[in-house]
Amino acid sequence: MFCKIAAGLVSGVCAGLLVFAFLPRIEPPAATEKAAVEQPEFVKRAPAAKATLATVQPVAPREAINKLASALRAPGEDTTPIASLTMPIDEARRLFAEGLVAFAKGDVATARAFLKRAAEGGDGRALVALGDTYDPAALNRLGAIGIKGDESAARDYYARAQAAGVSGARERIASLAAR
Amino acid sequence: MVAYSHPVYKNGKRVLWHGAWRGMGRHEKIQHPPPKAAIAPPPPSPTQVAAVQSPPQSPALKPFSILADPDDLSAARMSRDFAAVLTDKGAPGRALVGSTSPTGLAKVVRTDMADFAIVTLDTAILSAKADPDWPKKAPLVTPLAPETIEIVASREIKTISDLQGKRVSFGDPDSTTAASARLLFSRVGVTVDPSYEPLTEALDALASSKRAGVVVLGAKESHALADFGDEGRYHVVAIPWSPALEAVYAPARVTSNERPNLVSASDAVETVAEPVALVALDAGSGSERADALGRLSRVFFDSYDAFLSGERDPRWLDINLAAEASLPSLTWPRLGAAQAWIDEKKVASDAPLDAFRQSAKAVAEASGGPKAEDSDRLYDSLTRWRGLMQ
Repeated sequence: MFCKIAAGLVSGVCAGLLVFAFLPRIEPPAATEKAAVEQPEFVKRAPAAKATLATVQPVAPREAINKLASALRAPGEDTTPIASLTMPIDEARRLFAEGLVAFAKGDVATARAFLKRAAEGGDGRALVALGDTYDPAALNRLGAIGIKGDESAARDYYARAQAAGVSGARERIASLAAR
Repeated sequence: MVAYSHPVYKNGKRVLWHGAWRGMGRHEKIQHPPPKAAIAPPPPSPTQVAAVQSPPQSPALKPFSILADPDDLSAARMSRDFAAVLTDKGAPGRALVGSTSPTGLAKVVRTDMADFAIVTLDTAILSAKADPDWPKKAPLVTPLAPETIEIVASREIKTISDLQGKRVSFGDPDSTTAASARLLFSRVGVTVDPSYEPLTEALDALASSKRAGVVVLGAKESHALADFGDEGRYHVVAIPWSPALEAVYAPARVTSNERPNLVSASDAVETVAEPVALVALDAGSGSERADALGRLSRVFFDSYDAFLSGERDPRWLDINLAAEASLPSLTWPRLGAAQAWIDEKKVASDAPLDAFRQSAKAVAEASGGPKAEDSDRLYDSLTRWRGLMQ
């Protein structure tokens, strides 16, 4: 009886050692490591600006901002709160350009993120482009696969753009209505 | 002895799994019983034949596995969707949880643990930095929707700069959250003292003031985070947008609807979202493994409508399967069969659209990235393209 128990114990220990030997090695956590501070080599964009934006650039004219703010607050499906309309207009235009680059690449989710921020920053053209990212016909012509678009959201953004006085919005609304 | 063709479990966790597409090279002596072909190979088209160069008789599909990081709950849910839908379509697979950091992925490939993985852009960048051929070895299947990064801290921490020199939790050691957090703080120029622990432990440490902040990635559905800080002592710290972030992230926002416990009512906090992609692991062009995973990718694409139903993660609704991947300063090829499938669906040539794309490409590749004045040219180009449609 004792021999059987001993044999069982020995075989159990051996099995345990075998399992342990085949466990994937766990790298020691870099707990003592400080956060990397060097700028990674792959980021080759020139500007050295950090978290805060330059404040010397001009902001959009007050009247245009008010018009756009009114358009952005129009009732619609997108109830995202308006964060700020005090961004320098050139910053909004740059975000708009980023959004269009993403849209041209077919990265619709990223494009929407940039375009929303650009619209909130004061570039009303971003509302038209936002509508395009939801317009099923535009997505189809873009060659998008999978994503379905949303006519209602597209119409809503076009309407906001029209209310903000952005050219091209009226034609897009008419195009949607004709389908 | 357990055969290599089966997973090995210890205390309920899988510790060894030789994936479906392994074994033919390194484990030739292992004889698997011939499985039934679950899915017939798709009819070849000229583009497909050219791109994939499939042998006349492809090996039958075997069960696959898809890996997601345990810290990244969104990715974990999407990987479960991926396995469930493909299994329903006759291509059985399972979702695994494991590190998708650069070292984690290298280990996964070395130990044959998974066939696909959901990875962040930072993982791809760091992996490619360590091995320039990595993008070819882990080709893209499709980009997914970006995932939000949140920094949770006490309300005494007003800005991200207030975390300078303080102890901040970066998630599990060797996790994708840790890799992303290190790069994020580097990019915003704030040096913190990182600690590494699971989210629940990190939140406990934050509650007892042992941590000044906790970084989370893709934790939209985290119960631990949803139940934390109801007393109003904590909040999501803003990550203000800056040019230094543009090469990698997209702007994002966390609203009070999403985090009522950490964002004041009717408020929203600016943060960033990191691109995420589905990749095929160890699937270099022309390999037998690339062919096998390519066939699975076609099943995924062909079944995509099943991902758009209500029971699946809503982020599938925002994905354009044909989108190009964005890897700064790097080319990230798509898996051959996946590219062939997309090429088959290509719409007819559209000169104004091509012009729009060319303008965007030129702007994206210019030194310093897009500038304010580029927006005029791009918008003109967009207008010309859209004008033809009306």
